Amino acid sequence: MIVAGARSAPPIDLRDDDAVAHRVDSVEGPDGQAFLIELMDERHPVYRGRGTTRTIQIRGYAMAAFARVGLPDRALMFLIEELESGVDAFLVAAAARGLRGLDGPERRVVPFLLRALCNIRDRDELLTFATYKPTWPVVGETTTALAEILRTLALLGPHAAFALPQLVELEAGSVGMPAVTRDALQEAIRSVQADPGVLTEADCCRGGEPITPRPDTRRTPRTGQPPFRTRFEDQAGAPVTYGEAFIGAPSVVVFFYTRCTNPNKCSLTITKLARLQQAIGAAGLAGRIRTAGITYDPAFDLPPRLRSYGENRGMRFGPDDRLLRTTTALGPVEGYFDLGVGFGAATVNRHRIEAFVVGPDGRLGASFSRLQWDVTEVRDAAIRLIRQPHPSHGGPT
Amino acid sequence: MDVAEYRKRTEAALEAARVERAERVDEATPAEALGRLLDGATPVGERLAALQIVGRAAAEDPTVIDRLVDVLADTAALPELREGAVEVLQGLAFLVTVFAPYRPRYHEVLRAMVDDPNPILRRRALAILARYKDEYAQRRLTEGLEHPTKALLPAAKAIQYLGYDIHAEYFPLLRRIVEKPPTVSAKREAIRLLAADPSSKTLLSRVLNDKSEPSRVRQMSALALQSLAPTSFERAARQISLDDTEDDRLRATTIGALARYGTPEPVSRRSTFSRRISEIQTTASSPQLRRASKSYVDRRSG
Repeated sequence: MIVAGARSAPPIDLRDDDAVAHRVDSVEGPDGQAFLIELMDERHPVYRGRGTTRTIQIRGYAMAAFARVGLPDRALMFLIEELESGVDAFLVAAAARGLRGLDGPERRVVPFLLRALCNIRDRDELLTFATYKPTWPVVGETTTALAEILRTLALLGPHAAFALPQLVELEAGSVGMPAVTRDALQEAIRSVQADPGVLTEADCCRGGEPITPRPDTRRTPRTGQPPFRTRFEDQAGAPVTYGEAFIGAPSVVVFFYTRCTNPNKCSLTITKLARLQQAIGAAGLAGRIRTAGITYDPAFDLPPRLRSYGENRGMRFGPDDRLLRTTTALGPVEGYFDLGVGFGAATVNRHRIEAFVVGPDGRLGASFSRLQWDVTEVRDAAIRLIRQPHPSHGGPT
Repeated sequence: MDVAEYRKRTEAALEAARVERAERVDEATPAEALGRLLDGATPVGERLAALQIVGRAAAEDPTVIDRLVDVLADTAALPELREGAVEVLQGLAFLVTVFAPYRPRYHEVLRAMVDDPNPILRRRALAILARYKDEYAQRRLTEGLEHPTKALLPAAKAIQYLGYDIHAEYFPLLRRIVEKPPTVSAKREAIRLLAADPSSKTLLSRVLNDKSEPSRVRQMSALALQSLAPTSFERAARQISLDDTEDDRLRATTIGALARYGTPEPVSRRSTFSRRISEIQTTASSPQLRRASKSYVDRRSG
């Protein structure tokens, strides 16, 4: 499998992760940014068949390189996603480091850096970006996820002034932290308290649009038709087609798998789906909006696993509320919803958070991806579809 | 006095001295204990006792965790002391919030220990890091399985440690190990982990049905297949359970699994299969098989 990568660079073999890392080391300019952005896609061929640890290493190594080549706006969301929901020290460190590639201070990233601070403070590790496959003890620079977050806050200076209370709290528990973290903490505390008078007018205008998981209604499916022929099995083992599950009423559809180990992703997604059921009921709309979770891992997530996973997270099952696994190929569903998921040798190696609102015709209405979605906002997006006239779906049921 | 008597007396005297020293250390304050722990001239028994006191003091004064990590990192320190330090540190790791600031350096020291000449320390370091899905530990364990001259541990142990991460990319390697195992234990461990790999259904089924395979390997295959493909397992298990030429331990395993997880039978079939399982209670010579049969009948009739 060969890819050209940057236009000016020779092709590389994507099965060779060392070659990919070597390319990451050498990229620069807009071509380099484009190559790194390609590597942010969970479906990139470099990740195919790899385990999660290797996927993290490649993705993180590329993400950190944005600090060197510059971070364009279209790459920002990948880093923000990691700061908000990531629990792996290497990836969180990479995201925080990559943010230093922004061409000016942006205060809108500060809440995500603070969120990452909370996510990672009990899971931190010493790590390095000096080389792709380090041998320990490492010769060269070592760092930590906290140190990378703090250095980025320090770079933001007074733009991150409202982070000060959390930094002071972190300082109180900093005894025992590696020297690299403690030094970065002191520098961050000093910098965020710097005299805001030094800000230029241009700096003040770089607040940017707030980063929120607004519904994306413009997103077009990778394949035009909904996967009407796809068959599923629900948590009770009952067969159901796509049409039976999703035509006739608007549905909120989320994706997950039971072997996901990030508590901020699948486990939280299904917990929120259960809260959404309650919110639908509280709005007096039970039976008028359906909810469904579809597993990325249908070969392993057999009905008993789906049932216990949903029950343990508060789901109530019924004809309008199900967890599903495909019994035909997952591909058509993956293509239609344009899922951000990569697969290793036995299971998922990486996925984004994704929730969709599907219209009563079974077609995609809105999508919420990468950032944490809000239960009320998703419910309201589904309510809007109830009120829309019911178009003919034009596909087999 | 004969040699045996002399040895007995000497050992008793040494033990009494050890207890006395330990009692003396037990009365020490954490600061005194820390002093003794770090003093190379103090007898090893006293230093080991001091290690425990220092460990107990960590909840009140977490800074001692750094001193314990220092002991672990000191390759010139006595092996018993470093082994003791890693045990105490592992206990302290349960104090998640207290331990968190010290964890990065602790793990850094453990990573350096994967090449330690002391096999106990090497194994302990790899076991701990593997539980945290540490990239370096996984890389070195996999390397050892692919190139046995680079192995840090016996193959079965390396597979067991890699198995802490079901998202790792070792499944193709495990399938190769099952086909060409370095040891029976390694094969068994590989099969245990393949229970998480849906593409290994056929392989597991083949091992389960292969009478030339060792019984404990087939037992592990049965358990893996039951988790991965309950329908395929049940089909094979029914045949094995009723086959008098099969290994008794394997039959006991399949009957036990059918009792717990098998699909309830239609009444028409229950009479045949259940009757034959019931007969095993009286006809089998193996007590294990008789017990499994009784358990099946009790569960199915209850």
